[in-house]
Amino acid sequence: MGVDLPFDDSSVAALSGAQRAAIAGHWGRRARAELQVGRAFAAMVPVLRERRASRAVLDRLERGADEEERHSELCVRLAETYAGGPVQRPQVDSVVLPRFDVGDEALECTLLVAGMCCINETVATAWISSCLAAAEAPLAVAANRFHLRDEIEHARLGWAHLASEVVSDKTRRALGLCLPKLLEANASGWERKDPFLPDEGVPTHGHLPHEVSRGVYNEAVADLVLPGFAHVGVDVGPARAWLRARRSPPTAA
Amino acid sequence: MKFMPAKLFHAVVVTGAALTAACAGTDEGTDEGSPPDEAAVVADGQADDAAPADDAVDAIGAGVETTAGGTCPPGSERPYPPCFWIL
Repeated sequence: MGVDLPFDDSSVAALSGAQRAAIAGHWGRRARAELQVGRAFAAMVPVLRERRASRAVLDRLERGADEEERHSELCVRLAETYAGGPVQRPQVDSVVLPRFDVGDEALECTLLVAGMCCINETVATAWISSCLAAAEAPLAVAANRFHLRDEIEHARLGWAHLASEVVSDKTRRALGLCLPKLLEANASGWERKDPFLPDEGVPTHGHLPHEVSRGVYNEAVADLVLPGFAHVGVDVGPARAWLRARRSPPTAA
Repeated sequence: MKFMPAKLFHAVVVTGAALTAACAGTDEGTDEGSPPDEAAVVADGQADDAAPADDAVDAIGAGVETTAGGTCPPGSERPYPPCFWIL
């Protein structure tokens, strides 16, 4: 499962010890996150198969599970490169998929795809694109490109499913009403401060300042996610209202 | 440090949606549904489904996880559990 990236990048050695430790911590934590997503994708396969998802979607989902595991492996290599020694490998055998308990299995499945792929993976493409744009170190550029390529595919599978005939108009209507809470649930993961990285980040190595990183979520929702849902026939009116409200918090009287 | 929404929208959403039969209204491109400068997206089913992600990455040019034990958004309640994983 080796990934051929410039792990001998000399710019790593030029960083301070604190910066290297911070970046190693980030990649170590991310290794676990990527593996969790991979396990979630694997768990989604039978769910989508039962809902008669298209072959194109199922194939990509199965591949996505493997790719996220590969991402995790890459993250470990990155952590070790920045740490200058071995790091602990994450162990995640399986995950329990979120249950929405909406009493409608078609909507249940659609919420899962919308949350995991259409929202999360699409935001990931924006976030990694931003990291890539900031990165200058060859290793960071290569790593972000590698991740971005796969995240694009993982996001695509979600939009492919929502655009397919197996999702009914009734389910699309119901999904539109659910979007604000679905987006809110996803937001906290993206806006939370990385516990390892400094506030100013290490942009040349692809790690954005916290405030920049935090701002990507709203922008990605506005420019990609909501237009995406509209593109596949979901009413995004409630979600746009939600976004307006969170961008313009009420001022104190 | 800004992503490129128009290119990403095309690479991810338009191409993704084209991978399966489009739903009614998918190719109408509503005003509300189109980000700035994204009006001229390729029609569904035309070439996009063959566009590899590598090409998309080139065109763009350029951890965090929410677990079941993670922070629940204020005011949220089931059926929207905070157990999403990101990245």
